[in-house]
Amino acid sequence: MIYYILRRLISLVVVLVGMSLIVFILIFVLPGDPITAIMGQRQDPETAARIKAEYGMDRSLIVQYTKFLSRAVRGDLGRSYRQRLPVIKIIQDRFKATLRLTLAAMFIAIVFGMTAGVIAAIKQYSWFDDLVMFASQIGFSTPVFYLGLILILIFGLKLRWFPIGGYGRGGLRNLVLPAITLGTIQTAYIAQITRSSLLEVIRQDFVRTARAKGLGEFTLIRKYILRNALIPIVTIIGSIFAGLLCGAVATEYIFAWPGLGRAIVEAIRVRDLPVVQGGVFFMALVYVLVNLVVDILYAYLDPRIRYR
Amino acid sequence: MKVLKQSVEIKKREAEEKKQEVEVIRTTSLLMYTLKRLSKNHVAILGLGLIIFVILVAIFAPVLAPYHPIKYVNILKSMVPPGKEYPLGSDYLGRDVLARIIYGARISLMVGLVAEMVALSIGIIFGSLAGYYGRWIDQLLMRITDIIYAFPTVLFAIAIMAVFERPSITQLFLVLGFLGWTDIARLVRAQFLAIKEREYTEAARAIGAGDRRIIFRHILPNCLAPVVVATTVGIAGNILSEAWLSFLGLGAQPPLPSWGLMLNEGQTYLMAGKYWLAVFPGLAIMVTVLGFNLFGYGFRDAIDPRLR
Repeated sequence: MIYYILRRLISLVVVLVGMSLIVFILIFVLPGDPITAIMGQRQDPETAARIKAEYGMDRSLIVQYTKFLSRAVRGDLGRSYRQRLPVIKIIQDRFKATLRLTLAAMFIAIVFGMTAGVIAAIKQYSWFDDLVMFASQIGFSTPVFYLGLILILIFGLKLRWFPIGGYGRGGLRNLVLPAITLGTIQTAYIAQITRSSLLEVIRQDFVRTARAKGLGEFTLIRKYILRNALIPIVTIIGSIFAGLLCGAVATEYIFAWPGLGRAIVEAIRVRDLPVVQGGVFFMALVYVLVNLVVDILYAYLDPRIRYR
Repeated sequence: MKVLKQSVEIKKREAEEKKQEVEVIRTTSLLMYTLKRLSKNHVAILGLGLIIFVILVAIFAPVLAPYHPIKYVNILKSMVPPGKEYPLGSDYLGRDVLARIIYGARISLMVGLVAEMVALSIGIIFGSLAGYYGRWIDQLLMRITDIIYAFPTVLFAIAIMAVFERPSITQLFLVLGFLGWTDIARLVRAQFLAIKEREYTEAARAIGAGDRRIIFRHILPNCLAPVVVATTVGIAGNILSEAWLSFLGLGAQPPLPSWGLMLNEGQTYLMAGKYWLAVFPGLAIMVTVLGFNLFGYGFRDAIDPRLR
């Protein structure tokens, strides 16, 4: 187990160095002059040079990258061109709202997705099964931002059940529509995985044996089938979280939710590149770490993985 | 008497089974076999139908569209609700929404397909090299794949597109292509690892076939089915990404009739009750993406009997 964790940590370091290199290239090497973004169109060479020196842009690329890396390790992702704030401060301020939205959506996805998936698998080939499978295909095919707009149109503007956006005072009313919007695709995903995972377990010999010795259907599902079917479901939690983080950008934008995703979109509008890249890098970092934890958890649950 | 009847029946059944077996042997080609199974899968056929529908719409756009999507502007008739003159209403410049949706199919399909071609080329090359040659080539290529794979694709695409001063649709499909190949590379590599060890590969090598012949004649054709599934799902994902990035202003630029861009323009007027500007382009995205998703899903079913 320790060997497995070590191996995963080493590959994590490789991935992180690669990611930092890509983010560095995006900020400093590609076209799109940061000086213009800071100073606007009116710029004199002297001030431009001073700003270049201030941001360390007059050094060679290798020096810049090493500096960038050593700063990033200490949590310094640079400063926003527009807000004159450290990027990490903006991330700290905004990520809480994103996390709240993501967790709410995850709750919806797990509860509804697993329920639908379990019922669909138990009643395979029934109308409910068909409905779940078809609905999940529709769920996969709907753009998050479109779903958000439709929900706003129906439940916000026509029925006036929920506010059409904003954080409110942190109550649940403002959270409902964004969480449903964000959670829908992942609900579909969990329903499908749960169903197929359950169907696989149902056909195994030990289930037949348990049924033959007279166990009740409910105990059978709860104690024998679900417990075994859960392993693949646990492993996709990581990719679900990633999907939710990506979707959060769209959802936050549509619902004016003050999270990190919205901060990124706002930063795109004013070409505030450090915030865009820092925000994306941070989200990717969370995603990679979650996946690491899930992998280790998976190896713990299923010992066969460690030896692959 | 009864026994005799039974034995006749058994003989009949055996003959039938033999006939079926012969049929299976006769349709030796993997492709034919897959196609045959596919034609019996209703979900796949429905998906294929939707795809063909959208492709036909894109090809015959000039015939089908009642007006020109960009050049026809009539300010006096702006924001007309759906009716006789404009089947799906008109936008803020008096352009016909239906005509723009019809022409928009061209943009969506083009981005979806071209980006996927880019992804497919990179993925197959990376996967084949890594899977066939193994050792350090495998290590190197798969670490690169891991790094790209670790980034949430859409976020990464946002970060890259934000760098360009004037984002365009060409840059968008290159970016989506360069980010979307990791799944295909992993699939192809896994197939290579499995098939490399099979007897027929060994037999081919024994009769003196070179690397190139083994790769192109013996291994790659076996990757076809899983790669087709990954490709259709990839196209669906590209279309969704294009819509989202164009919605953010990081893809197609006005006056192009991109569905995502139309949604962006329509979003502003949603609050004023002008629903048709946002609802119909979104439906177009959904139908197109649903077609590709259903086809991929049905195809996977058809080639993998374990799933149903």
